[in-house]
Order: sequence, then structure tokens, then C-alpha cells
Amino acid sequence: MIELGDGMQMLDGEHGEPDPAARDSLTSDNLSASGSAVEWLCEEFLERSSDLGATGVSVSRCIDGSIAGLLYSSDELATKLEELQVTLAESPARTALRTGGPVLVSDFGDEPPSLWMAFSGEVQRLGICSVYAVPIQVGAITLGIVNVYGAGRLRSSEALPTQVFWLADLISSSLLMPHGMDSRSVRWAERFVGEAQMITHQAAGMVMVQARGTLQDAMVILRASAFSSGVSLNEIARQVVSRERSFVNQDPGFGSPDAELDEGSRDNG
Amino acid sequence: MDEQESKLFFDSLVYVTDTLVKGFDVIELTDRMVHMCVELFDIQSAGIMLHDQRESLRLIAVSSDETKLLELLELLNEQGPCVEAFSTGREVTVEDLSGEAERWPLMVAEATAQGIVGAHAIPMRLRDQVIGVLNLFSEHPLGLTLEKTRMARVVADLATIGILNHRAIREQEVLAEQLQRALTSRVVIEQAKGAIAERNGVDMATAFTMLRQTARTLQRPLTDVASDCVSGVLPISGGAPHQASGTRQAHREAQSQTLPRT
Repeated sequence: MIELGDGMQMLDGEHGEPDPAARDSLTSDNLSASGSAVEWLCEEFLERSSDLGATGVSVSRCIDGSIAGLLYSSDELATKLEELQVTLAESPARTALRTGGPVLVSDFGDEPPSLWMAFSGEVQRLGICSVYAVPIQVGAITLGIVNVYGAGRLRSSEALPTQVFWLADLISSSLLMPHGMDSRSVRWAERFVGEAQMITHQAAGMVMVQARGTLQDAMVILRASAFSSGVSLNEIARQVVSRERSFVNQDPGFGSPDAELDEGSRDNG
Repeated sequence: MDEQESKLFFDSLVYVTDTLVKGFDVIELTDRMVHMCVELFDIQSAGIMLHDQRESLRLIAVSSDETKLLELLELLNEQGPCVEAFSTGREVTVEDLSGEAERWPLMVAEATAQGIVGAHAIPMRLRDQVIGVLNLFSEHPLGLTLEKTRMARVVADLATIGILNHRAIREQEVLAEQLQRALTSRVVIEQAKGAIAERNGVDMATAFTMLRQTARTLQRPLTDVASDCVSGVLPISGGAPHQASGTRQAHREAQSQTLPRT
């Protein structure tokens, strides 16, 4: 459970629904001057994670499974680390993306010499001791990667994966934001994180085919539809799976909550 | 336990130990476990929930693709025997759920609407940590014999071993990594099911069968095949749609498709 500060709190899974007042109170005023959700999320994370040994964070976007562009970096060291992850043939981030799961190196000094040889040497020269590479993904949708690094060891505890997975989830929600929505609406983004049930992932597969787009497009379409209909993401998904609602021929770039939705009349036609 | 049940249990143990040695797909394994439970314990359905390393229990396997059952399992995250088993680390048996309507109003209402009367929740443990719960649901008052209760624990333990890839997991992070990978695999499977269902005009159960058959034919892990299906590299199509069914006959048929010929 992460405290957002200013009295705001993460979605309490036990009670199910987010507090509307808290949700509305999250505006751009509450975010940092830079105005980026990813930046704000990472800065909040770092503030809370010093006891985990986290010294810096970087986030990169992924396209077609490859690292493609830095989204955020906490400092120069994080930027250099990110560059290394991309330019060298082998790195924890590359392994994490290839295997589809997080990779923790708690001490590069401990690692066997053969593993990430070039990377390990470079990273230690920079004064970095540990790296935790966590893919930002929703099943088969790989959006990016979070790299947390430590000047000392990153403590392998329950808290470390929990905190970084939360960060990755929130960033994924932020990156799957429909057009026209307040892209800094972290609170709305967090609803997605807590809410997506298996039926939503099924619906995404269906909408991917219906809209002839990618899975990522499908998730954005579903979220836009939920937002403009004023129902939950899972409810839209239920309608899609039961074939009450269809997005056949939906423009994959669609995402404006103001656009009129053709709710299945096209395919039933 | 009669001879047929004995054989089923033994065959499944052989299957599981085989896959642990040779390598396996976590979704195939857990799917097998829940279908085995339905057969062995003469119940309506079974589901495995796994802790997601944040604050929820998530679905990793379920014996039937019926949407309403999925919804019931999602509710288990909030109230009911599953949450109790998870937080206490002890088995929770409810012979008749109607007696617990005050305690778990939403869950009991949903379960009753689906004709579920009894529930049994077995925590999945790694030493002193609970990583998930195996849930059994019956349409009659649930009365598992002592023998069957022990078998259920074995199934829960096997599922735990399978999911954690039977490593001697000492580091918390490695545990978290394994659970995260398992849950991600499940999501990939669901995404692929949706794509197959839409492309072929079939229901989710049929889509899953098509996915499993393709993986078997290609001799590749289920999750890899699902991933390729979603990315468009491997379009899966063809095959006559089957009746979606949660009956035991359907389970037997599903089992016979996945059981190794012994």
C-alpha cells in the first residue's frame, strides 16, 4: 500500500471503490512542476524507497520488445546506466524483457564473471552496485522497463518487489491512457491497476482483432469506452465478451472520450 | 477412494513429476491441477488464486471458463473462505455457505446464485509464507473424507512446487519473480483466448482448447504459443467449435486430451 502524500491513498482493495473526493482532488496541482505522470510516480517512489537501498530510477519505453527511448531518469547516473542497457549486447534489462520477468542483481561484485561481463564492469566503474530491472507489462503488452539502481546493495525483501511492481503497474496505466484524458490523472490510472480482471484481458484480445490493431490499442479503446460510458473497465469487458458490445472497425487511434461510441450496432447491422 | 480415482490420482502425480523434471508451462500445470480436483473430489469447480505481490489475490487457474465462475473467483479476493485461508494460513471448510451469509454477504450471494453450496479453501504454502489458495466448490454440502482432504493438500503442495519451479527459494525477490511470471503468463493466455475466440467465432473454453492443442502439436510451452498468437506470428484457427460445458463428462474429455497415454 503506497501513501501518495497530501492525504491521498492508493485504492484500498478491501473496500473496492476509490473515494471520489480523493480522485477529484488529484489534479495537475498536485503533480510536480514538470507535469509528467511518470516523473511524478518515480520521484514519489524514490522518496519512499531509500530504506530499500534505491538510489536512482530510470524508465524506458519499449516498442516491439526492444528498448526505444528514455521516458524518465532521476539523475545523470541513471541516464548513463540506461544507455549501457541499450548499447551493450547483454544487460539485466535485456534479460528481463527477453524472459518476461524481473531481474535483480543485488551486487555486481558478486556476480560470476561471465554474466553480463561488459555491462557489469562498466556499471561498477560508474559506482553502481545493484540493479533491479522490472518490465512494464500487461501480459503480452510490453510497454517499457523500469530500472532501479543502488549505490549499495538493493535489499531482497518483500518490500522491494512490491514497491517496484506497484511503480511499474502505475506507469503502465499511465502509458495506456486514452487521448483527450488528463494524462496526469494518476488516480484514474490507478483504478485500472486495481481493477483489471481476467475478463478484461480476454476482451482486449477480442478488441485487438475487432479493431485490427495491437493489444495496446485494444486496452486504450476499452479504457476510453469505460470512461465515456461511466462504467468500470471490467464492465465494458463483460459486455465485449458477452458480445453485447463490439469495436469492429473501430479506429485503433480512437480514444477521445467525447467521440460518440457506436455500441455494437455496426456489427449487428 | 475407488480404483478409478486411485488411477487418476497416480497418473496425475506421474504427469506432474514428469513435467517438473522435463520443464513445463505453469499455466498448463495449474490448469491440469484444477481439472484433477473436479474429477477427484466430485465437485462443481476449482480455482487457484495467487498473491500478486501487491495487495490482491489473483486468478491463476480455473476449471471452467464460465464468466460467472470467473466473477465469483474475483470476489474471493475480498471476502470468503479463500481470503481467510490466505490470511490465517489454515484450511477453511464450509459445508454449507448459506450459513455464512452474514459473514460474507457478497460472496455467498454470488455463490448461491451459481448453485454452489460448499467450499473448501486450502492455503498454498512455502515454509511460513502463504503464496496462494486452492479453492474447491461443490453444488452439494461439502463433506470431504479425511483421505480426500489429504489428497487436496497434496494437490495444493504440488501446485506450489510447480509454480515456484521447485527451486529452493530463499530470496524473497526470487519468490516474487516466480509469482509475477506465473501471473503474467495467465494474462497472456487470457489475451490469446480473446483473440482466438474473436478470429474463429468460438467461446473462451473452445479457444483455450485450440490453444492447448496447438501447443501440444508444436511441442512448445503454452505461454510461448499464446504470446506468438497474440503478436500475430502464429494465427490459430480451424477446428469445429465444441459445446462449452462445465460437466464432469466435459472434464473427462478435457483430461483425456491432456493425459499422457500410460
